[in-house]
Order: sequence, then C-alpha cells, then structure tokens
Amino acid sequence: MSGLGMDSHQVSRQPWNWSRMTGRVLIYSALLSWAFICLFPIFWTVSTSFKTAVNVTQGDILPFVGRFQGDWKGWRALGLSPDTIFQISTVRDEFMLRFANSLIVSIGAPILAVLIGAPAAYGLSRFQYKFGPWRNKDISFFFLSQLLLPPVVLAMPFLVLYKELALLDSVIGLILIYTLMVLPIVIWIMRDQFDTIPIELEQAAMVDGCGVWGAFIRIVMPIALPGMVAAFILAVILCWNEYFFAALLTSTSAKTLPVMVASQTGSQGISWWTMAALATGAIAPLVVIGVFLERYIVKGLTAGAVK
Amino acid sequence: MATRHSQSLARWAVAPAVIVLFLWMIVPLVMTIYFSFLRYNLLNPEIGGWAGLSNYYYFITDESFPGAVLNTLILVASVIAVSVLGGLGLALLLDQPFWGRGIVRLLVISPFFIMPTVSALVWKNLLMNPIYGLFAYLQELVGITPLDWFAKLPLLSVAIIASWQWLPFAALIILTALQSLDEEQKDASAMDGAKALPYFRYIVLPHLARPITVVILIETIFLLNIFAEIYVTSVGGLAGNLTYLVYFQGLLNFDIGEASAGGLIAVVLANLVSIFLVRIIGRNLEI
Repeated sequence: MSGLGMDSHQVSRQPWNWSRMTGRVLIYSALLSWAFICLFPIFWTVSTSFKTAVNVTQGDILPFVGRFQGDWKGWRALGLSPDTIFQISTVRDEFMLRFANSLIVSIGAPILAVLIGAPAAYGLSRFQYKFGPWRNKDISFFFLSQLLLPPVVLAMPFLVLYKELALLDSVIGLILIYTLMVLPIVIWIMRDQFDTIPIELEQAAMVDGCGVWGAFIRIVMPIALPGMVAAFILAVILCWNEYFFAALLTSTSAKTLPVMVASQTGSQGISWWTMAALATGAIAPLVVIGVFLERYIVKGLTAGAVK
Repeated sequence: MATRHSQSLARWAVAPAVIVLFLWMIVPLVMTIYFSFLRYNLLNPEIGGWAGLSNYYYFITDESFPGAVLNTLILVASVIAVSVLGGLGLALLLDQPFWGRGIVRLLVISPFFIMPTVSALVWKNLLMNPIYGLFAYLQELVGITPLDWFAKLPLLSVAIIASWQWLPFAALIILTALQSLDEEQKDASAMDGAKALPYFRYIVLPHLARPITVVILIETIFLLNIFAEIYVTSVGGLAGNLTYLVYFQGLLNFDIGEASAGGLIAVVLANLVSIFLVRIIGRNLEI
C-alpha cells in the first residue's frame, strides 16, 4: 500500500525534476539562514565568555583564528575556570547559591503542580461534574482563565500577603507562586493526554477487580507517563526562566538565576566576558534538557494544538 | 458494584486543584480590587482611607498611559504576525524530507528555551550595542553609521528579541500539525494531480487552523505580559507596556493603590483582546 503511494509520488514529481534541484538549494539555504539566526546569538554568548577585552572591542568572531585564542577570563571572574575552581571565590558562592535556588524552585513547583494537576485532569477527563451551575467545561475554562490573569495583578497582593506570612524572599514562597503559575498548563497537557486513553481499558481493569485508584495507578498511569513527563519538563522550563515574580518577591537569600543575570545590566563598564559566562551558565541546564528530552518538550508544547 | 464508593471518592480528584487555584487567584484578585480603591502608598503610610476612583483616574490620565497601551498592543500584534507567518514558512520548509531533519528541528526551536533575561542581555550588549555590538560592526563594515537600536527604535528592538524567541514556538507547533496530515490524503491529492497551490489552500490550511489558533492564543497570553525583555534592556521609559507601567507605579513609586488600579486595567485589556481573538478565530477551537 505504502509502496504504491511512494510510486505515485515519484510519478507525479517527475515532470518537475528540473526545478527540484533549485528547490532543494532554496530549501537548504533558507533553513541554513534560519538556523544561523537562531544559533548565532547563542554561539556569540558562549564564545564571548572565552574572549578578552581586545577580542570584544575588535569584534573577533571565530575562536582559534587570529587574536581570538580563547581565554578563561569570564569564567575566572565567576570562579569557575580551571585555575580558580579550587580557590575560594565569593562570586562563585553567589552563583552557586542562585543556581541552587533556581534548581530547587524549578523542580519543586512542577512536582507540586503535577501532584495536584494530574488528578484534576484525570477527573475532568473521566467524570461529568456538576457543582451548582458549573459543568466540566466551566471548570476547564476556570483553569485556563488563570492564564489570562496578568502577573502584575497578582503582584501587589502577593507582596503584601507574603510580607504578612513571612514568605517574602523565601524559596517556599517562590515555589508556591510558581505552582500556581504552571498548574493550568499542567492540567491542560494532562487532560489532553488522558483523553487519548480509551476508558474501556479502565473498565476492563475494574471488571477484573481493580478499584478506581487501582486502575488509575496500574493501567492509566503507565500510559499517561510520557504526557506527565512532558508537562513536568515544560513546567521546569517555565519556572527556570521566570523573572517577574522572582524579581518582585526575592531580595537576598532566595534570589534566582534570572534575577542575577538581569542585575548585570545598567552599570557603565560592563565586563562582557563575565556577563557572557554567567549567561552561558544560566542557559546550560536547559540546553542539556533540550538535547536529551526534546521529544517530551515537543509533546508538551503541542498538546491540544494538534488533533 | 464494589467500586461505587471509590468512584465517588475519585470524583473529588479535581477538588484540590480547584481549591488551590480558587484561593490563590480569588484572594489576591479581591485584594487588588480593594487596594485599587484605597490611598495606599508605602512612602506615605500616614495617608490612608478611601480614594474612590481617583487611583483609576490618575493611572489613566498618566501621560505615559496611552503610549503604554499602544506599545502593548503593537508588541503583541507585530510579534504574532512575524512568528505565525515566519513559523508557517519555516514549518513548510522543515516538512520537506531532507537530511538531518531531527537535529535541525532541535536547533530551530532552541531560542524558545533561552532565559528571557539572558536573551535580552545578549541582544542588548553583544548584538545591538552601538559601539561593541555585532550589528554595529557589520554596519561599519558596509560604511553605515551604527544604529543605537534601543535609543532610536526601542519598540522594534524589543519586538525583534521577542520574535526571535517566539517564532520557533510557532514553527514547532505548525510543523507537528503538518506531520500529522494524513499520508494517504497527501498521496490521494498527488494522484489526482492537485497542483501545489490549491493543495495548500484546500487541504493544508484548513488542517492548520486549529494549531495556528492555539499559537495565537498562547502567544497573546505571554506577550501581553512581556516584562523581562523591556526591563533588562531598560527601554521601559521609551517603549514600556502596561505591565511595565504597573511595575513602575508599584515598585518604583511605591504607590500600591494606583498600581492595583493599573493591574485591573491590564486585566480588562487582556480580556478585551482575548474576547476579540476568540470572536475572530476561536471558532476553530473547542476547549
């Protein structure tokens, strides 16, 4: 069947063969230029972290060509170059503290959000609710409407509330607000995932003597796990990159990486290499996640968009 | 049935999320509404009491308010236009069979994962800096006076950074949709001798209606609230949006009352935009 399909493809394409070559060239050049636009700023950041002042002012582009021989200058300022890694460095301590804060916050909040969100998504996918005038559709809409509330509206009351509750500048405070921030997205992705699992599977399990929760844990969870991982990773990315609430609700001890990065701007004499090294350190974890878990990210991002 | 009991228990699975979101959303929202009617400035704690609608009045008559609304809308509209059109083109290219597609796809969506503060910092200081930036270097190479992007074209600069981040997102979603287009449908139309253009118009575009709708809605939500890019590039005074103006009132002027009023105006704007969008394009989407 598919063989036949391939044939018809070949036949229909034959008359345009002369133009296929130019088409090919156009496609590749368009893709190459887009890949260049995408990647060049990232390459530029990483390479600048190995530059000296002369390299920056002269606009040297390629490493190991001419003047640009590579230097640990930026990393040395962060205390992370090979020669300073074992020495005492206050900047490194600062960076590691921010890094640890970011890590705790952007793992803690997604875990909480999945723990609360997955059951909710399951319920919405499997049962017909009626809370007063509210049906499933209204509850779903309530969850999504959360996203429409601009963070600035929550900013002032959270500032006041957190001051009262002594949650200002605490990692726990950030985790709580990030949970709120990613919960609607987690529910959206998970419900999409649960909807694709036929209910007959659970009914069969229940006939065989599983309870609702037994069926959920033994049958539904293993099938829904990729969706759950996708929701979790997307939540991690959003939390890792979040700036507004972090800037607003933290000051010294709970500050996260985006806030540290943002504080690099403004001063007159910027040391480009240090800034670039810091930026590289801040994006590195997501690059690793992106390379190894790309298919989960794609799954999470496209949930509900493609039917 | 033995499961009747556990089944009714399982129905409550949705409760924690509803309760958490309700508390965490309604309490602050009510507080914001309350604050917006108060004289509440952290710098003048002795002045208090009801302010009536004066917070709203002062926020709306602030000389930077019309500009902020305009900047917000321009930013949302331009970035969406660029990212949807560019993303569609890019997705159509990526959908062609070619060597190394998996890697290219990963590379192409990479800007989406870059921390907004990092991309703002990098674009500002390494690429668009009028003295040491790469663009200045290139402009000098062809003999043009380097452009001071953030002083001369602040809104465009922010839009460029945001487009760089969001175009890959649009491309990824549209590409996934293209790949889910039925192979048999493709073959059938190829066999019928369908030309490229009508095929795109009558088969591909309708199939893409839903993903494009989702892209527009999600991007609208995030772009209405764009903040890090404006704050880090310090163009807030020139091209600040509504979020920046609220931040300015609340955290730089410490006027909680007026900032709350501004925040509520931002909610109204967000809802107006989304109602408008749902009216126009939302028919493609049932939640």
